[in-house]
Amino acid sequence: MKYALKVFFRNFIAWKKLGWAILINALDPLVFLLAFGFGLGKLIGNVDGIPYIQYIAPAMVAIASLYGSFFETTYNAYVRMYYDKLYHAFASTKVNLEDIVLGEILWGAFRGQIYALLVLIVLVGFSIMDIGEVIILFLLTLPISFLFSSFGMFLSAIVPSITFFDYIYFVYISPMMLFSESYFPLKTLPPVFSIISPIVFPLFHGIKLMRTFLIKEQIEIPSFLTLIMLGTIYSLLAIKLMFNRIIR
Amino acid sequence: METVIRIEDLWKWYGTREALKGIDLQVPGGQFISILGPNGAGKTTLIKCITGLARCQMGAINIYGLDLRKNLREIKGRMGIVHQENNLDVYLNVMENLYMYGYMLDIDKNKLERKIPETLHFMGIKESLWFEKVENLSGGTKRKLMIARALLNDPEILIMDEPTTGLDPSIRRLLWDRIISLKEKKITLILTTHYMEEAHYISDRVVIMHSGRIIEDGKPDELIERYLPPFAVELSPPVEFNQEYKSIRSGDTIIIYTQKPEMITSRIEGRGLRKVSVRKTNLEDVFLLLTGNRL
Repeated sequence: MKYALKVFFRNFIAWKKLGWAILINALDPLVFLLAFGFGLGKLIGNVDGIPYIQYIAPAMVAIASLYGSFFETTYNAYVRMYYDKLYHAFASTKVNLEDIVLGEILWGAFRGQIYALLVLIVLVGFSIMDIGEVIILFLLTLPISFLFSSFGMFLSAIVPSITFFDYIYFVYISPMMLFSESYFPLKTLPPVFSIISPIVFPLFHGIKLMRTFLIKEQIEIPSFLTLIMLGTIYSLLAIKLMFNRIIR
Repeated sequence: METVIRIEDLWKWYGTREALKGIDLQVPGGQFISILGPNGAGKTTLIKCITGLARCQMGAINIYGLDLRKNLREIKGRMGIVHQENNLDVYLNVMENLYMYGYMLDIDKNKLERKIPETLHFMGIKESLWFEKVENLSGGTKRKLMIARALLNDPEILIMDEPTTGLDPSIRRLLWDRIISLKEKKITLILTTHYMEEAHYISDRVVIMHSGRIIEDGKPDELIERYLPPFAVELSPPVEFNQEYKSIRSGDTIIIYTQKPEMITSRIEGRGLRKVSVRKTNLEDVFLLLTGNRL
């Protein structure tokens, strides 16, 4: 862990140099929150017995966490690995490849948490949540950030080129953001969606974890464990496959 | 001198392609070794295996008596590694690059603050560049910085994979002098190159690789003496010569090796040859003789 934290620290130093530009990705969920929550929400009224803005707020936090972590360990990590050849540089020190992968996953999760925090701050600002709820929700985004950071790293270990991330985004990430009960309940769609989505879209569990806490003040243990379990599996796969990629 | 690197029967495959075919190599401490070979000879693969950046399917690498696979972190802490491709951190400036590398090598902060200016001065990087972003540096300065980075931990073994490839001759010569001056520090050096002159200038010992095997190993001058007379006469277009002379055809030139070049030149006068040149026999001739290819 000591050497993984060194990789994390390196990324932090490089990130600080980019200034506020680094937060641009976080604008996306914020824009959706404003457009759907405050705009469309006024027309919709209540969903599942709660105002629409409160229905989508936890989903926006989860999606922000996904954005921050997934984009960091896909595009950004891939550039560090493939174009900048930094993994070879790091691996020439006392840092080993498993430290690099773990450090990148920690870093990606950190980025996810930063993005989630920005959305949470906006939600507090508009009095949609109170500080207590924000603190718990911030902690509940940790397994989401961890999962999508690990998933991104797993993909970075296997994609043949950086353009494949675009395909994965359009084919998998984008539908996942729509069909994980983020903007509407799945019961409005044919029943097959309610069966398939929890199986193929882990974001579903992230959003369920957040929303269950907000509505019932309970921790949805199965969703929490699903996120942790998948995050761990993807982390282990990322280490194994990155070895195959770098140390052939 | 104690053997610091011991490689035994090392085999490496990429799929079905054999990259290393039973490499045996022992390197005594303080020796400067050049590994010579054309592209695809296995030089970089061998370097990657020694630095833990490639897995070999068979064989063993022991460094300071430690099994590389089991003691990778400890061994890397005693090594300096200069890769063939530029892998400086483009997001950081010169000083930050060194600081971050030293941090990853667990170098004590006080020592690092002393070592960074020392290595930058040693490599001749001007103070005006110390806070410059890496992307603004020239190719030669980037390479100097990569070597400075590898020297931060006072390595006992320095591994350099084609450190001067692509640099102009004046920078190359300057780097050679810096590298040679490391002999005072009793560093063991393994360097790959396809510049024969570089190998001859820097090394105590030359290892010639071809198609994944070591085909010759020895001191540069001894290798030349072992295989060829001291002079080479190059003639173009090639002319037929009797077989008492060792000769090699290379493209539209024939190279004839001899103790007495004047014996050759006097016999070809008046034949209207386009090119007649006499030079000392060098490592490239040995390589050409052994492999049939130029580097």
